[in-house]
Amino acid sequence: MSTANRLATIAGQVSKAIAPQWPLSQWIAVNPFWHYRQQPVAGVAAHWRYSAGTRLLMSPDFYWQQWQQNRIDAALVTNKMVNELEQRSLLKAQLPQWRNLSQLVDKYTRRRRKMRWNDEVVLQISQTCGLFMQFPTRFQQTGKDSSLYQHWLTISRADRGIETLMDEAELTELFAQLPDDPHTLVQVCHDNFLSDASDYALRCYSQALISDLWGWAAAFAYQDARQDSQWVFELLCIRLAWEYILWQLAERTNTKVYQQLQQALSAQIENCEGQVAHIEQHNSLLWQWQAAYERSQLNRLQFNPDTAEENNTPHLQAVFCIDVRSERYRRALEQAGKSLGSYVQSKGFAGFFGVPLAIQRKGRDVPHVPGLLQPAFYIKAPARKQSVGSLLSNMFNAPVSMFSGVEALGLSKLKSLLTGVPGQLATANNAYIADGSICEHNGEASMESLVNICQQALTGMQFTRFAKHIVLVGHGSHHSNNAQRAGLNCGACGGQTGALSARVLVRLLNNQDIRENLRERGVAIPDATQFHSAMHETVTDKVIWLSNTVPDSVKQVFRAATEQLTQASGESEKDRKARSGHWAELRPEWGLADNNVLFFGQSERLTSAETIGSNFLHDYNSKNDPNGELLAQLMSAPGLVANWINWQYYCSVTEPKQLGSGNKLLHNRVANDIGVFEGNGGDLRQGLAWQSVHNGSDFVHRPMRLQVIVEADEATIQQALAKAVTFNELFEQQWINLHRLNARGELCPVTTPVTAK
Amino acid sequence: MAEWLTLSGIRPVLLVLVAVLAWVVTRYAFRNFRLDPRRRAFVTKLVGCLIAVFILIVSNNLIVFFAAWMAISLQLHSLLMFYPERDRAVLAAHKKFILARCSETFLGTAFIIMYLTTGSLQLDTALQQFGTGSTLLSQHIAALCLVMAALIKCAQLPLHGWLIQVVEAPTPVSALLHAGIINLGGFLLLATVPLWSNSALAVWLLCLVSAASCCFAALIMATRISIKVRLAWSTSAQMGLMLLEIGLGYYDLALLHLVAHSVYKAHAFLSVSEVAIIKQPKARSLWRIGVVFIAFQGIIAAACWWFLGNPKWLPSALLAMALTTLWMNLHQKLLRITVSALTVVAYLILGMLAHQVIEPQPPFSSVWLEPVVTLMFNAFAFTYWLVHHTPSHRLSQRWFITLNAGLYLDEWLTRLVLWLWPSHPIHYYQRQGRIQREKHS
Repeated sequence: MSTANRLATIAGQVSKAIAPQWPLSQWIAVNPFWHYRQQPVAGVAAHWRYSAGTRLLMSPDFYWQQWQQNRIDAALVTNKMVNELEQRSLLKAQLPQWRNLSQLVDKYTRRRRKMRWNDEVVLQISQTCGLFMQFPTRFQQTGKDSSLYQHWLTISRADRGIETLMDEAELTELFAQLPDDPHTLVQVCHDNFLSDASDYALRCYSQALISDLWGWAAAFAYQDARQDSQWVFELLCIRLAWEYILWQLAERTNTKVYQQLQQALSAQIENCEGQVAHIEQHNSLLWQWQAAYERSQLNRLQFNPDTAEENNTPHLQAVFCIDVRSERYRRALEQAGKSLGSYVQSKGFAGFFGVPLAIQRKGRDVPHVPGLLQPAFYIKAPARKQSVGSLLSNMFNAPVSMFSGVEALGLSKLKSLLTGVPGQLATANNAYIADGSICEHNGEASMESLVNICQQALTGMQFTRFAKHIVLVGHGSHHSNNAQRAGLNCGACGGQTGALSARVLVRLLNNQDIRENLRERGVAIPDATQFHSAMHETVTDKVIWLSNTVPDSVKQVFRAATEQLTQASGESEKDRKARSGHWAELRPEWGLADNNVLFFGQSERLTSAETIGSNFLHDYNSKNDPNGELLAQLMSAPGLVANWINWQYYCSVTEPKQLGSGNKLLHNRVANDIGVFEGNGGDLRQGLAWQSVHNGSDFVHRPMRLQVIVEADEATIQQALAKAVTFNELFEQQWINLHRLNARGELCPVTTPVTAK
Repeated sequence: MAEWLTLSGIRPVLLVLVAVLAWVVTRYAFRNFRLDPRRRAFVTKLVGCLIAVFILIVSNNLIVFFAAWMAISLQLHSLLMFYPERDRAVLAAHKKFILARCSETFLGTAFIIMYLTTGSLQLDTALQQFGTGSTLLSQHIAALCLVMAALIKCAQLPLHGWLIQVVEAPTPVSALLHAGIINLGGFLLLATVPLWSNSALAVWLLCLVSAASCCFAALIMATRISIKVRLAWSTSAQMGLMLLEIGLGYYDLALLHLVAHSVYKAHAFLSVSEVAIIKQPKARSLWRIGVVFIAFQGIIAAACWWFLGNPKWLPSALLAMALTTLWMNLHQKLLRITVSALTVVAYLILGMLAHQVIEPQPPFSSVWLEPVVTLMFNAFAFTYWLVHHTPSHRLSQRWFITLNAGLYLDEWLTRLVLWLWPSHPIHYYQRQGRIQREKHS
């Protein structure tokens, strides 16, 4: 690497490694360290701990508490571990951390009666980014080629606010002298104060800088991935430009501080590699405890030995999303079936039911697929009519019309002020959408591609026999006034409800022509079999029927299941309904909290009752999958989605400040719903709100890496791992754990394959 | 009883309004903090604040009135400091704290002058006597003090910064503040009309400051990026309009504005995560909007003159702006006419209702005040259209950035506040942490 563009290259790599965050309307779970999956988790954790203070482990206190409360099996822990942990929890050692120049300046200059730099710099950049995204017609006139850096420079040069606020008149000149091009800026910074920094130090520094604006970086990473722009890199350049300005400011105005900065920076540059190694070594104890904690939690799971398959055809089959909330419904449904004397079989499959679909409205796509997939089919939706509500809101929000507008029509809000804004749930009941023709990129979808989807879906759902009634149950959450609503809907449907996907696949599978075609391909659906669509509403555990052909006998089973769940929850039906409809409710439901197991196998084998609601269940039968092809597919699709969800929750618990979105009471939607601020500003927030993982007294999510359990023999798993490259990376580097369930119902370790490198 | 309590004038309307808000906000907060260990503390503070508001509205005694006025602001302070670990929340609360004391100083001075001139502590008798018995100088001073107290309370420029920055507080606090407490400036003026309306100086001050605030705050609002901050700027602008209406003698419209705005703003804050995204205005020809606007304004003013004998410049201009926006945004003819007619009819009926509660009166006979203010609003409307409908215009860009920076007004105040009260909450927390650790060990 030539010295000239060393910093640019490293900054570029760090920017590329930022995981995206979807805008609020499609807000789905993301693993913030997705691009670091090829490196071992402990190493990445140590590196980020040093660069940005990011915690990927709980505190020693947490493990000590778990140990004291007997939540960690003694057999998994050595005496040495216990002793060391006890010392740790008493000692509370401070780990070293890289400090950016803005933080150092705050430390060395005594700005007791003035604003401090670090906060103000973050706020200034954050506001500028907000303008960039809120007013695209003004600030992104050349579309994706618009430069974020130049936008920031224009604003900063024209705006005199920060000079006044910080009481530094020199800033005006410093802004004027900044290079106009981000690459030149990187070059200048490198030559000025980073010329003797090692690559390692530059990487730490870049990470430290981008972590100040991690939320915006994630939002821009989403944009970059879709339009091939360089906005994350430019954001990093903006942050670097501020460092350069503060460096120059110290040089000009305060020699003492300048010298201190020089010393501190060179000390950091010299020591960083050693410090990271120190942290990694220091934290290895906690990783041992983390592993012991995870294993102890896993030991609570109980499995049946493999039993002979039931040969009866079920009376009713229901296919659910693999979402952990489906587990409780599935168990209840099977129970209800038993008590009503009919054999009900439930299945788990990704909630978009294998139909990669998007709604197209006014040239804009709303995808109903997992984040890693691209939709292949489209349904055109008519433009929404202007509703009275949106007309009023436009009137009240435009400066010129809001005065008389509020006087004349402000009182129209009185009724809804008294009753509250009711919750929302999209059921895709618009006839245009639900019955609209399905298109591909080049016109209406051909019969062949439709039959293909159906065949793949049925194979994936592992249908060997068909009941008379088969219900596809999507899911959605009915609640009100939540900026992160999409996070409680179906992640596999891109943050929408599962209603549309269920409706569409049911429509296809009930189509006689398609069934004819399927039969020719060897998938014979009996003529008597009827498919129905429904939606599991996850706040109240009710089922909303989307098809109107459902016989009462089927409805009865579902009703019984709902009743059973309501009883089991210990809440009255009224309370649950209140949670789903109240506009002040911050915790309508716990979503996917406490997810920690992904089970590929026959769901009947998992028998423990106390862990219901923590498991992603995906049907898999290794007998039909001799080469591990299907397993590899499962690992590469639901496996990765589950990893994203799991890491979102994990990080929101271990590092709520950087990777969680703070207090929901303070959420403040920003820039055309690209995300939320907490309160007045600071960085854009990412991850889950405190109220989504904490019940006021304790965490409701146990911080565990995803435990993947596969019901298959070792050879099949190894074959599948060889094909599922990404999943294998996660496994090898311990971002997830993998176990094999043997015929006796015991969990066995899976050996890490030796990959040729 | 009459010594202590009064229900005259607009008080019954306000009592109903506050009661509705109190009920809604308290219920909301109760639900908001469902599993929060600090639920009790929050709701107690909230209720305390509301009780002080009730006392203020019905009190007829100067001392009780002042004490309630102060209690509200102190209770609000503890609500704004509900999360003391948040730097910016603390800074905003401090700013608000200092300004509230200024406002109280003005109010106190006005009340002392009232008491000294009339010798009565009863609000209604003091007001009656003050109009006749006072000297010119003391009258002016008292009037100016009252107007200043109201301007500060209503977050008018350039002392508006705290209102924007306290969106750091939990949503119910914002709702209470923006829909309830901030209106008290308007209530103060409406309850003490005889005291200030004879002082031309005070009226000019009131009208010019509030008109400027109103226009600039509305312009700044449209350049902001987050929903709560936009709502906060909108409150500052709406309060400006309310004060302006009071200054111009449109007491009925001011009352209507107070009530309608409270309802709308409480709803907007409480449903802040639900409301529709604000659409950006499309690029449009300035000329076309201008012609439509001037035409509307002319028609409405002429109609007022014809039917009411008074052109009502300001309300005509404002109504014309609203109708122009509707006209430009709705493209179906029938919808245009229906919605416009609905707006006008609603406005007329509500205005008449408000008229039953409080009589408007021209406070003093300056012919020029209202036309001057109306011209300002015309300039404001054209500036807005220039900035937002022609985004690529050079002037538009420059104005946009200046407006987005809030005209650099608040920066000075922030510096002053930090200089006066250099507390960094981190220190506070470190101190707390140390105390706790000592307790444990």
